[in-house]
Amino acid sequence: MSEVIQEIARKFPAAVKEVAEYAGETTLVVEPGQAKAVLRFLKESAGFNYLADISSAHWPDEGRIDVVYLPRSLKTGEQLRVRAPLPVENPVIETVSDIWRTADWLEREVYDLMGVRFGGHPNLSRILLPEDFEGYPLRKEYPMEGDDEWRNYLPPEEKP
Amino acid sequence: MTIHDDQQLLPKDGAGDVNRADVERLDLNTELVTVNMGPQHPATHGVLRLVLTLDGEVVVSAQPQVGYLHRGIEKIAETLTLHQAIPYTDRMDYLSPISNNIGLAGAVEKLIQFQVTEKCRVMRVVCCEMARISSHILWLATTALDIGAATVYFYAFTEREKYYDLFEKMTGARFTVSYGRIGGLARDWEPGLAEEILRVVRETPKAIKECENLLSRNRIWIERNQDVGPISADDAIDLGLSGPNLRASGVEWDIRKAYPYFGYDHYDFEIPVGEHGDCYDRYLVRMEEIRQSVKIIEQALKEYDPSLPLFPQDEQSRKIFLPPKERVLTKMEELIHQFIVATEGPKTPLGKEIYFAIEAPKGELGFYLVGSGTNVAHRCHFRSPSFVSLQGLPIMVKGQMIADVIATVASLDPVLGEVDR
Repeated sequence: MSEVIQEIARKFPAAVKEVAEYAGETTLVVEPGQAKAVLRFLKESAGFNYLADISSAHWPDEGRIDVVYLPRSLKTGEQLRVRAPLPVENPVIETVSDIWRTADWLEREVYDLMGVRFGGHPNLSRILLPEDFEGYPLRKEYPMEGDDEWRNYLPPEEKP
Repeated sequence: MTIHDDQQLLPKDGAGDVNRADVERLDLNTELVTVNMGPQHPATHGVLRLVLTLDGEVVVSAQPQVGYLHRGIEKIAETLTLHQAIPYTDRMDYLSPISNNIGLAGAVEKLIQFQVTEKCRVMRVVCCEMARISSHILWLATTALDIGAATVYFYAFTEREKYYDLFEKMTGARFTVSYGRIGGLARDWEPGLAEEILRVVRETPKAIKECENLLSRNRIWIERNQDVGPISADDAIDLGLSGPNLRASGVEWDIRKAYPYFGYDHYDFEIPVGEHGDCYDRYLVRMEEIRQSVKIIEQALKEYDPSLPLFPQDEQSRKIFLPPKERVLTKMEELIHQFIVATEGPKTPLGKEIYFAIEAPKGELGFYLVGSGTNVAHRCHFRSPSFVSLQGLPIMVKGQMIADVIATVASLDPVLGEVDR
């Protein structure tokens, strides 16, 4: 595992911000602008042919949203977590759906619930929530419940 | 291991391809029609909507629309203590709730670095494999019904009922069991339950064989399934398919072997692998997985010793798990522990993150947890196998007949509660 990280550090010296180890898992914190290049390298040169998951986490106090990729090699079972911290005011990162097709829906889910925009995504639209939903529920400031019903909700007798 | 038994298959004469060949040969003047299949369609196994563009009966493109069952389980789980989040996982894959519960418990244990006892480990393996068997049996029943083989439905449900009786004896509930607990399980097994599980499990291969006798060499079944909804190994990997759907395409990949959790590496079992990635291979893979699960349960129950404790006994560990209810109601000490654990609970380390995956019946069920320094997870993301495998549907059904869409959706085994979360 450390060989892959060393190679990444050599090829993309400006990309790697931090390498963290916890519970036997390695997390690579990368510069968001270089995240796609690092992931492309992992897929094409290091044999990480499977993207298990894309997730995200909002840290309101630090003003950032993390996008978390989980590439994996099905041949060796190697797995690496690549985390790209984005500013919460303008969370934009390049899509990886052209590297792994599975990223298409996974990125749409992150966009839908966390509001991260993926540049170059073929169809960046809401997937779990309705098209006209406002806000991004998984952000920490989003309330658990509101005062009113959803504005599009009308009781059956009031429907036109 | 390979799933094909050459003796079993009928020679193919291409009879099933007549329709498709006709369409091409006659070069009929057709125009494209867009059809909504679902969200209320009996064969979509929940509220799945497929927007199909059809040329006659041939599917030009298919676009799954999901989200009808979205309840925001991730958001809810991030506002509750980790113990309170467990019942919500029942409502994700509601056909194998026990493996969801235990998966979340395992993920939290990985985050807080906690070791469960040997007895708990064995019981978890048995529960997870029972969930796999009952889920695959239900899959067989509903898929056969979708394709028109109603008899199999009744045979399979009779068998599945036995498992649900066992779950009821084990947990007190049939469906939403909430049996997993951080640090252990909700309660010990009654005396004699292990023997009963063994008895039921040993009967299962016979019952499965009965269903297979009706299907595997059945001409209609073969023509509805063989070469229907195929996906190549490269596409399956690229699209992130997991579980039986990935293995049917010929990729030998199983989380139980790759990242053994709950001591799966102690057990002797094989990974069934298909060749063609079509509906028929997905069927064969699942049938073989049932037999392998039976093998695992038999081995695990040999290790099961009812006299051992379910929870660790040291004082530090007691601050992690909820004590059993009967002790809470009779012992002062345990009542105090119950209060402390329910109000404070296990503290998650701030900023630490883990990904814990189990091989759920539908595929790789992953839990991404980020600690917050309190008893609430800062981030609780569920990677659901059905969500990812539905994404592969457009590629599988492109160029197939509309009736094959039904067979392909069924063969992917999506559970919409898990897709939408």
